[in-house]
Amino acid sequence: MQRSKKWIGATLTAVLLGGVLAGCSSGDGNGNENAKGNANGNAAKPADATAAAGTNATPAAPSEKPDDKTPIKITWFVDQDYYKKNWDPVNNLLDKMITDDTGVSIDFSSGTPEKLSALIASGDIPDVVTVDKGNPQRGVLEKSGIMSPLDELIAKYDPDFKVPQSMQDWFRNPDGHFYGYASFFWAKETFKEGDSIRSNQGLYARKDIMDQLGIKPEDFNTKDGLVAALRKVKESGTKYNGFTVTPAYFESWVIGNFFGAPREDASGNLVDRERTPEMLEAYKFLNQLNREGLMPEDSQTLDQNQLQEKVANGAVFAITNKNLDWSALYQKDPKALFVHVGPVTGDAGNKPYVDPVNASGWTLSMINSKTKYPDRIIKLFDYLSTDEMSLNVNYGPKGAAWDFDENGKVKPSDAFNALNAEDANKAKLKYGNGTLQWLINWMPIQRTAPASVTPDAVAKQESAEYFATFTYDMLPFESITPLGGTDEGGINAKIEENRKKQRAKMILAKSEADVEKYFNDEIEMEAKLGYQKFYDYENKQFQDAKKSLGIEFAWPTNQKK
Amino acid sequence: MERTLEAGRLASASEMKASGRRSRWKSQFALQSMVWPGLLFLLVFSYVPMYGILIAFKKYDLFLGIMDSPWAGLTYFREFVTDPNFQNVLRNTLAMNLLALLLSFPAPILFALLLNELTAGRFKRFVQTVSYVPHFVSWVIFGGLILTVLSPSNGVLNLLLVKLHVVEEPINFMAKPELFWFIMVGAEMLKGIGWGAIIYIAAIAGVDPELHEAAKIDGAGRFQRMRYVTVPSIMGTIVIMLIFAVSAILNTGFEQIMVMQNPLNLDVSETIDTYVYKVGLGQMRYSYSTAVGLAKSLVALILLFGANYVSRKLSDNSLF
Repeated sequence: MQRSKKWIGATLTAVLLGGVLAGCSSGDGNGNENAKGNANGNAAKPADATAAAGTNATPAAPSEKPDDKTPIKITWFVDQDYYKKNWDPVNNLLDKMITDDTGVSIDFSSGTPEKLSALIASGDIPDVVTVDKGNPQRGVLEKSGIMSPLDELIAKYDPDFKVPQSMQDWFRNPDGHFYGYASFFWAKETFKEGDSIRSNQGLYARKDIMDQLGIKPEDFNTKDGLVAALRKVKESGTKYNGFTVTPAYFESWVIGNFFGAPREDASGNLVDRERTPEMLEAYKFLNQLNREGLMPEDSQTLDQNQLQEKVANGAVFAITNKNLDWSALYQKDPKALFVHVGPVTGDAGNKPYVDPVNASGWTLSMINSKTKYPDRIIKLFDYLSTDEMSLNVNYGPKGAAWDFDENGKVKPSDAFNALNAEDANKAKLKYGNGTLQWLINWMPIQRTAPASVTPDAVAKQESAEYFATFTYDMLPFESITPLGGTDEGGINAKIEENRKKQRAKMILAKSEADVEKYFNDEIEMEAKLGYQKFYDYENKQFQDAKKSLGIEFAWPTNQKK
Repeated sequence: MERTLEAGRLASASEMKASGRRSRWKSQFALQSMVWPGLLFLLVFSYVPMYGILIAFKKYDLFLGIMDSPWAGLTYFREFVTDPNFQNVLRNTLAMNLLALLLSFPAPILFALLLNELTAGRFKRFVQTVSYVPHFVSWVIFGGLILTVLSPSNGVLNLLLVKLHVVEEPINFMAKPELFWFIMVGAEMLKGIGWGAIIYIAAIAGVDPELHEAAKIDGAGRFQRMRYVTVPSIMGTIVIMLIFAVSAILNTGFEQIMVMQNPLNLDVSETIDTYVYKVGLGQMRYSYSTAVGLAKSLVALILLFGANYVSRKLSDNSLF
């Protein structure tokens, strides 16, 4: 008996030990067994490249459909938490188009940058990674050899793939390679007559309420005029749809820009806009609005979605953020339009500015150096980054979702319009419009934007063009932020946290003197957090960027000298 | 591989016949062997990963690896302790935890006691189920619910207060720094009360009914029995839970605070966990984050031993 018990125990132990050992060793082994799958299956399928050439009268680039169309599946990670896409070549026309043209099916996953860090740390990295160009993970991916240099892949597999020179230069690492293809990149050398970089900042107000109260767009040109206009809204107690209309939701940085807060001093050094007198003036101004009840306390606590809801309900009069979409409001009430007004100028009478959208784009898509299909993926990149595909991923496949009208502008199909009006999500599922923008170029879309017919679209178009005239060339300022993992990055995060707090305090302060006090407190606090080191880093980055762009001054008022 | 070798050595050692302890060990071989998997598990998943603590003392680079990254000494500990925000962050963490200790620690005990007095079995089960359902709802959702209820524009609570003319203007609760700690602790209590009560309910179930019967015969009323029979019987459990709570005093729930945070209450809502997340992990500064985590664990360990010691001296109840 004793003996058998002993054996049971020993056997159990052995089994468990075995299990643990197996767990240890099962990690490797599936490395390179699948590489043989598809060498050069050039003749695998008859190339139907002629199909694309047919009806296209517009000067869009010839579509770069790869020859090798053996079905493969690749994995693709996007470091945007909200992004969800299930590859569905059966029901989704865009997915079908891509799979038909390239043979590639994409298995998308997404998550926060922290999730990407975890992926990097575990070494389990998808074939393609899309990363926000400002995220700390980007540097890690580029410097570690995890990702293949795109220039090498292009030279090897797809020499015809033309990546704009400015994109290559801008994202080139010290090792001489560039690793990612940028989405929404504005390559200056590809600009044509009439192209301009747009801004998401601006000053907008509800036209119906302005008309009702006799407010004119010019009233918004001065601080006094703006305050007077907002007061009118408040004092009239205007209600819309049962909601009392809130006069304003303004963002401090946009107002600071309107007041002309500079980003470079006379000797060419970087200026931190948050510390300029113009910015202090902006805080004082917003504080005045708050104290007068023209901009509520919750302007500091509402998130973008909540604000969006208020705007869509018609409960807001004036805003500075173009991303707050008012389409839903317009759908219900064709008179409820937001139009561009002002912009307001500061006491110093500086020319107002708005930040353009980043010319250097949004995300970078990179290719894993260990992927089984480097050739196929680089061709997929080529294919997806063409002008035509930019239009297709934005609107859905040409032919089904849209076509060019006689003026060469995009005209959405009736079927698409009907489904989109019925349920925008259903339209997305069917046409895939706006669901795969990781290699998109916005310029062809801007050039062929559908002719505006509805007052809503006209207003949007006009304000976009209007505020485009207030933009400046932001490129030299776009890569100054310290990289993650560095001490400067840590300081930057701390300063950002403090600023968030102080901003709210200044705007909600009891008196103007308090605003000034908080403003100075913040500067003092930042000194303790290591501001100088952070500034020196940013300034150096800025000077380097100017040098590589071959300019002496970056700020418009300096350039004129 | 080291692990196996070690285990192998142990096994071979057990076969040697030497001192009395060895022979006792041998006679318990079957029983002992049942402990090994557990020990092994601990070793593999708790002790081996501990070498990662080294990260705290190094300028860790993901690609150099832990061993090859250059040493940084106590740089990151110093950075955290000398951070101008350190005092504020520590204060918030401690304040919220002490408040929780004061309010939400006793709550489940009280709840369990009251629940125990319910005689209708079905109703009791219903109440219990309802009370611990919130535990299974994620903080993102629960926090969102709380924010909605407290919202100044369309929140139920403000609607009620305004209609009842308790207040004239809706109160923006989340913008009032002085209320934040109470809202946090309250929300935590609401969410955790049922779940926290389970362990006490189990403890109460283990109370010898004879004690209750004897007390009844002696003429003790319901409250007296609660006070003099039930509570002393579950004192051991309460003390152990208290020791745990004390040792966790530097931890605050991370998600709930992230969900409820906004620039207006940042002064009182930033805790060690959220701050380190933002300036450490969020910026891929692993050394800094590890250093703070390690410092926190150290304090927790000291507190655990301290609380255990005090409780052993005072009440004879202790973990070890």
